[in-house]
Amino acid sequence: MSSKKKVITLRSSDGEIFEVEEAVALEWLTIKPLVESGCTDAIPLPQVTGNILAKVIEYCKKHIGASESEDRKILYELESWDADFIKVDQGTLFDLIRAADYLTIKTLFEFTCQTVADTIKHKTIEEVRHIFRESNDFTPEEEKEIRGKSWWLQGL
Amino acid sequence: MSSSQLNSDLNHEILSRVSLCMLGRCRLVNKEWNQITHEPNVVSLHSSRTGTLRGYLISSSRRKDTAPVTFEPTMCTPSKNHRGDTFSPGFVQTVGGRSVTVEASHMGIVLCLRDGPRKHHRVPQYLICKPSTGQWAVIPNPRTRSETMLFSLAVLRSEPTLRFKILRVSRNRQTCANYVHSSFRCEVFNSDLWEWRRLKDIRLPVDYFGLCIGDGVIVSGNSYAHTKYPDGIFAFDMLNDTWEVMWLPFGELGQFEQVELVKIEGRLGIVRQGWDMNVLEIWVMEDRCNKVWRQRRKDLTVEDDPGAVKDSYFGRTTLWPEKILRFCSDLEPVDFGPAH
Repeated sequence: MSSKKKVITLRSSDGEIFEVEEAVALEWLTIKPLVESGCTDAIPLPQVTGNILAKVIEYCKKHIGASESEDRKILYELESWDADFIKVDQGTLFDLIRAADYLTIKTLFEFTCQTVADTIKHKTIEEVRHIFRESNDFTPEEEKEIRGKSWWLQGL
Repeated sequence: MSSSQLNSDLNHEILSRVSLCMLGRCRLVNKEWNQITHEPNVVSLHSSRTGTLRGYLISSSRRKDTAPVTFEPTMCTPSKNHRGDTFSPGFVQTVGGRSVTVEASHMGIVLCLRDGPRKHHRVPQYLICKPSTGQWAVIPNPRTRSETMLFSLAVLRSEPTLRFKILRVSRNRQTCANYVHSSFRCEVFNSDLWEWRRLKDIRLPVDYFGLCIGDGVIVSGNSYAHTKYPDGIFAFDMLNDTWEVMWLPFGELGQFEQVELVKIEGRLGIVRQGWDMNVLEIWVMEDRCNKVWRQRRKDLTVEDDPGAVKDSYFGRTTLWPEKILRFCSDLEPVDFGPAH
């Protein structure tokens, strides 16, 4: 094996150029075939903006190799690093989910989805609707039918 | 990537990771979400990702030498939870070393009766428990001398503290005035008051609750039980303590036919079965107030169908299940309230 690390070039939707190690890019299943075929041109990623791609690369660089580590200290450190990493606004979080889905990065996708699932834990229905930009299309009668007279759902 | 809404595939992913309690609440977001939370693949993913137990508690025999209560998981329940233990309701069988029976279940909370000590004439003791966490509390007894016809348990709120109500309908021995009608005693246990309250007696045909003390369903705070003579549905509003009698939408049942009350997409459903348990019809109550029923396609996925479980269980063990309770539970400890 050559010790020299191969570098892959990526281009975001807004034209920014990023360079990542081959090992990182191989974790992204969507572009894996391109990387393996020895593509040397910049790989265009029309669905990911530069600032999101930078975050994705940051995450994957940190996680490569570290996730499989059995050292408890490293895992603990990684966990607190993750907690800091994910302190972003709702829009960025959703963008990260979409990017991870588009690039098929399993670890990041699971992590971001779980984060959203955890953040809505104690939210009211109205707050959930607001976060997900979902509108209520129930008629008052239908809503009542599902909610019943369930005051227990209104709280929290 | 500018639109701030996630597409429906991504919503599936997120909803399969929220807590069981939240999954229920998310039904109210809109029609699409309501649909998602009932999709079988989402339910199955949700079970494996959150460790939620979905299945049935089955009492097969009240003999003490056999395990009276077993847990039968549905397909989607992982055989091991994320801590790596296999769930078994072993705890339920021996609360304090005495055998118990399960009587009603809702949202992971189970009403159990524990054999009383001989010096108390074996009067059963009433317990409320959460089998998945091994927690339990004793509740006061109702007047146990009258024969129980129907139990129903509704969890009104599971966090921050548990709030629930139990309905018990029993037959009044003394006031059996004639052979046509009987008076039934109706009691409700309210966890807020931690006591039983007696409601006005109910006058109904003698065999109304009959032999058919099946597991009822709780839909939007109403408890429904299938009744035998005449064939119908006894509906009890667990919030307002009112009851009513409803008829089956298709009139009389044929000979050897049976019905099973189920929950379909958050509504009350009826599965009508022929003598060999094949599904003849599926009905869903579209409008509770005006009792509008609509027949659905037969291949509709029914969230939980005790009939099928009964069949497979009987085939394997040759013990006829005495009681089958739907059981769906998270692994979160429950707070029974400050006093308990």
